[in-house]
Amino acid sequence: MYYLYVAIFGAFGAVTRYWISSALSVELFPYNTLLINIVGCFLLAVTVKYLTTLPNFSKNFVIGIGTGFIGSFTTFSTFSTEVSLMITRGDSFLAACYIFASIIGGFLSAALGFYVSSRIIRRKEIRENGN
Amino acid sequence: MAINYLMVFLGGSLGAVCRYAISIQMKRIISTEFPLATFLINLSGSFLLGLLLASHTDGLIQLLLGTGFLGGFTTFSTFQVENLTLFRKGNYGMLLIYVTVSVGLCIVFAYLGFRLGN
Repeated sequence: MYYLYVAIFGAFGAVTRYWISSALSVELFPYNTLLINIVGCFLLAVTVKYLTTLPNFSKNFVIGIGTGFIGSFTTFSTFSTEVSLMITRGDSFLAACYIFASIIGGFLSAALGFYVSSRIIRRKEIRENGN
Repeated sequence: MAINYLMVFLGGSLGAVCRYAISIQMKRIISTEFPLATFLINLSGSFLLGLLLASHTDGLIQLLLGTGFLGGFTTFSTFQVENLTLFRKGNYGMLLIYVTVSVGLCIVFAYLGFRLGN
């Protein structure tokens, strides 16, 4: 059953990525892929940390959103081919900036997702327990 | 226009399913701190995308296999959440190895794919 959810959500994740990256077409620096990957890191962290605690979200749905949609929305192969092309055409500095922005940006974005999720969970606990 | 989206839709669906199947099977076979499944998926996907882009095939095939399948197969978000998990566990050595090896080798493999495809 999980496979069906991953298949359907994964299809929509790829389409959303295609839609955004075509809407923001770029020449020298791949802002579109960078934006997609950084946003996706935040969303996956929230899915893993927060959505799994919600009783109305079945495991099917969480795997669909996390592994399917967000996993498919973000991409590593486009990142590495873009870097490879940038280095090949002599833009090594730009390539280094892109690698740095992706790695640090994605990591901090995932960390922010974890942080925001634990704040929401904490706030809910306080509201429910009244202390 | 609609056919472009259909290609990405079909490829992305299959790519995500393959990634899910491989990561489940790998976790069943090998138990390791190092996120081996994601690493191998991203490495092979980078190589294949380089190969595909260099082969100058038809635009729709590129959308189906490249943007759709390989884009959906490889994943950046899982890679970063795994990094964060290693960081939170205090496993800094493994974190450094995972980031360096993933980024370094995937770029090299994408390049090798390009070279081989030309």
